[in-house]
Amino acid sequence: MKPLAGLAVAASVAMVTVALWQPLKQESGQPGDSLVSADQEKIQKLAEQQLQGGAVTVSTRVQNPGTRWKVERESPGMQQKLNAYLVNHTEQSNSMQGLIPQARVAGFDVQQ
Amino acid sequence: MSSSDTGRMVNSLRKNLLPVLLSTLISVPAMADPAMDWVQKMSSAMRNLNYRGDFVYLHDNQLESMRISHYTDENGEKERLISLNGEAREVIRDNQNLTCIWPSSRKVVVDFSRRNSFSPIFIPEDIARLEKFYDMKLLSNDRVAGMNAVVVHIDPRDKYRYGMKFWINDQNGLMMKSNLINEDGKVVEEVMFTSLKLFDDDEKLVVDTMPKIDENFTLVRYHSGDSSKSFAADNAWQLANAPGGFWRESVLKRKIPGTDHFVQQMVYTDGLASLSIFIEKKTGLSSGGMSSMGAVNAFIRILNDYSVTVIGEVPAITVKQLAESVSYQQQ
Repeated sequence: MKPLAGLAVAASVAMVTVALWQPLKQESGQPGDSLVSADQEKIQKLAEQQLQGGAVTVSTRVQNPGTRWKVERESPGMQQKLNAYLVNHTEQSNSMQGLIPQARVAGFDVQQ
Repeated sequence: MSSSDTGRMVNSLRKNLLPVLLSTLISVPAMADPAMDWVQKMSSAMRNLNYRGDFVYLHDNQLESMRISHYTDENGEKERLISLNGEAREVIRDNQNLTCIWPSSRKVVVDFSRRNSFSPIFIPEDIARLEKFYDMKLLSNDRVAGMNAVVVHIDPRDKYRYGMKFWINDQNGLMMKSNLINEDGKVVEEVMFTSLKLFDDDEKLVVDTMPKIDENFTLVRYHSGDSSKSFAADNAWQLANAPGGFWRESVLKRKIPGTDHFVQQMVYTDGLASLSIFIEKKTGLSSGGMSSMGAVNAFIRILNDYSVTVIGEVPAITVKQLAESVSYQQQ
C-alpha cells in the first residue's frame, strides 16, 4: 500500500483552495464549467504543486457538481436513487468498514 | 445446518446478548487474537465514549474535511457530523432518526435509524467466523494527530471483501485513522483525524443544538413517515450464490413516499463488510450496470419487471455476483 505522505498538509491546502474556488466558479456562471481564468489556473496550479506530487487532487465536487457516482449507464434519477439506497444501507447495516459511514452521506452534492 | 440458518441463529444471539455487551462498555475481555482484541476495543470506544474531532475523508481523489461530535447517555447514542468545506452539510443521528441538512439548498432529508448501535458489537461466534475470511495482525505502532496509535491490519483471504487498516489510540481505543484497501492493494477510502478529544457531559449541547430550519426548507423523507407501520417482506426473493461468509442480517420492506410502490431491502454481512440488496418494480427509465463512489460499489440488474440493486462497501465483483444470484422462488 502506498502511504499518502503529507495528507494533513494536503488537506489544509485543499480546503483553502476549495473555499476560494466557490465564489470564482459562481462568477463564471455555468455549473460544471471548467476553470478558465488566469487566477483560477494559478490557484489550481498552486494547489497541485503543494499536494505532494498530485497524490491528492482538489475536490472535483466544486468543478463537476452532481457527478459523485461513477455510473456505467446513466439514467434519469439514478444518482438520487443510489444516494437514497446508500443512506438506507448505511443506517440498516452494521459494518466495520467505515466507522464513520455518514461521512459518505455528508459528502453528497447539493444537486443530488 | 444451512448458512442462512446459521446467520439467523447468530443474529438472534447478537440481539439477545446486546444489552449485556453494552453494559461492558469498553472493558471488553481480552481475546486470544490481540489484533481482534484491539478491533473490539475500538468498536466499543467509538460507540460508548463522548468525543469530538476533525478528520479528513479521502475517496476518488476527493478530499473533504469534517467534524464529528458523538456522545452516549441513557437514551443511547447521538452523533453530529458537519462538512467543513463547501456547503455546511450536516448529518445528525440518534437511535430513532437520521437527519441530513443541506443549508444552502434548504433541503432536509429524514430517515429512520433502526440500528441499536452505530458500530458493530462482536460476539465469539463472529470472531471465529471472521478468522475464516480475514487474516488479522498487529503492525508497528504509529502516530496520528500527535497521539500514539496501535495499527491493525485486516487482510481478506479472498477477493470478495476489502482489506482494512485501523490506527487505534492506544489509551482510549478511539479510531484515529482507517483505510479500506482493494484487491490491488490500493487505498479506496481513507479517514484520518487531525484532532480528536474526549469531552464532558456539559458539552453535549453542541451535539443537541439543531441548526436553524425555517419554512423555506424542503423536507424529503426516505420513508412513509410512520415508523410503526411495517410491511411483510416477500420471502420469495432468494439469493442462490452468495460469497462465503455472508449471511442475511435483516430484511425489511418499506413504501416509497408519494407512491404505491414498495422497496424491499435485504442486508447481508460477513461481520465486517456489509451490503444491501434493494428490490423494487422497475420504471420505464431503469437501466442496469455498475456504479461506484469511493469504496462503495453498486450493481443494478433488471430482472423481469423488477430492478435489483446491490450496494455496499465491498469490491465490484461481490455486488455483481450477488445481483446475478437474486431470483424469485414461488412458494
